Amino acid sequence: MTKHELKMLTLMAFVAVFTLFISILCGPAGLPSLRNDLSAWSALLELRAMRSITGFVVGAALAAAGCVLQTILRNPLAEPYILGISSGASVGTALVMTTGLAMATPLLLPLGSFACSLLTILLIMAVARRAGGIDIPRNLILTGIVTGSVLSSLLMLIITFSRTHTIRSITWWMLGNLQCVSWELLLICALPVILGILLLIAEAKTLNAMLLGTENAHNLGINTHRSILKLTGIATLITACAVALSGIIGFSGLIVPHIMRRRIGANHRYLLPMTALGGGVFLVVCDIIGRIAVPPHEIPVGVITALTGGPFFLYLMTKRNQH
Amino acid sequence: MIDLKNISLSYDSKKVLHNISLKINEGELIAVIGPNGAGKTTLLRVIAGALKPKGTVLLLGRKVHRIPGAERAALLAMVPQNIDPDIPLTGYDFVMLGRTHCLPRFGVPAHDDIEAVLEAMRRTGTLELKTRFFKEMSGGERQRLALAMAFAARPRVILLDEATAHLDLHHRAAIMSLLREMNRVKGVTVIMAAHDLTLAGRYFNRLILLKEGHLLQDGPPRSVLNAQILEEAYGCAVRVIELPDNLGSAIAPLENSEII
Repeated sequence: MTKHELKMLTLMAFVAVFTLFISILCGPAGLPSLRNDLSAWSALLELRAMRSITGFVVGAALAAAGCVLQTILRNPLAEPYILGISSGASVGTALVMTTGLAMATPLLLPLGSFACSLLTILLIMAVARRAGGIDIPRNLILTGIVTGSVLSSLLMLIITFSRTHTIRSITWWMLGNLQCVSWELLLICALPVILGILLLIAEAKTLNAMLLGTENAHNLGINTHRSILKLTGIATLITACAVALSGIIGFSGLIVPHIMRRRIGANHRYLLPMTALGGGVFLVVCDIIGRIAVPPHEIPVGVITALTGGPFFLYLMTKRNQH
Repeated sequence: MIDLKNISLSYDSKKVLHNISLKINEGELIAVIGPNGAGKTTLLRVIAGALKPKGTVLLLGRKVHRIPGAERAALLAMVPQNIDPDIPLTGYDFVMLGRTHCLPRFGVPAHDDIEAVLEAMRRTGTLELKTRFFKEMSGGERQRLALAMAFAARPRVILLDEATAHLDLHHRAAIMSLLREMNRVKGVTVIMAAHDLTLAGRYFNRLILLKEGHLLQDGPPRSVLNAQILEEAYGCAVRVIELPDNLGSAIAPLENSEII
């Protein structure tokens, strides 16, 4: 990593801390006076801090997973949704919610989410392997898209048979909800995300080699088969944790790595930490907008990511074509 | 150094290599020639361990598939024919890929890695491409960087698949001289798949001629670049013209050749 890259990374870390600070101060209710009600003040700050950190963790997880999948699949449109990982995680979380298991212990939400996304990715790998091998990105993408569609329908089926109050919470969760229910759940999900991102950064040289395609990566000394399994497994884990925390939030895993790659290149030693920090900042900023745009109402963060990220992505595409 | 015993390989039902046996000694300078679809690239991929054929491929007495990836990459580097031009890496980062087998997981590349990359870029005349993005470069510049990537690995064997195809005359001559120098000074074994028969005869000591996956001829350029043998391999009449000053032979197809 060059001195410039290190400087940019430090700057990004400062931006992240600053954004989190602003996020804690912002909200439709503003901040109550410290003199009037100290307990309300601290409770509100705690809620907002939990929400901001959740947003940051989820954004970082989705962006890092998207970055890795874009490289492995050699497809700029790849993200956790394209492989059906998010859909698998959604089904798992919805099952835990509808069966009432979520009330027993918060640990079951990420566990259900991870179990279903793991089953999904294993199924995709098995089918892709039979279709010609997991080293061929096309096999993984096609299998992932079809599996994702089937799982989305399964999610709708679960909702159809749910009780009215559960339908409401699942619908809210499907739009993306960063208000985490407890510090315990946040900690349970954040630790695997942080560990997963560090493991991905440790695989930066493998990811760099994979940019040349699987055969060239093999010639550079990479065991491509094992690496694809390992990297997809880590991306699945961190996506499952993100979905368990916040529900379905689109675009974060697509546009942040895409923009970062275009701005700073694809050296994953630098790209991955920058993308993770950038993803965290993006989601926290989207959440701030959702909270203050139309007070006292709150717009779900998934709506904001789609409304801001989508057009910006289209703008980038047209700019690229003009270029 | 490299020993191929009874190598056969099929893609689906099409057999592309038929029972090929070869011995390649350390420090040889070899061109693999033959018409389109003769199996040149496939043979290189088999030697690199990217394809698993029937038969045995030994590198320094060990089965090439059994050699751990990092160890194999330190011994053998491959320069591919085509590289995706959209790779968003700078020239320096691209050449650093050649050091993948010895880079640390965390932290910065070691002094030796940086030195190897800069030396490879200096030798291939690509230092000015250090900070430019790969996708902004011409085909020839990308090809020279691909060579630099292979040189940066400091391997004992370099496999090149049509590696000079996109280069102009000046850079082609420079790269071929460089390959010969590395072969002479450092004893690097060079095996290159080539379409340009004049270039193959000019720079290589041994030519391996393939046709439809069969080994047709194997020997010094003077014995392989023979009008009758080439006519049999390529299915067209050619004239072999001896060049003065030991520059090898120029191969010219004759106009009345049958086009298939």
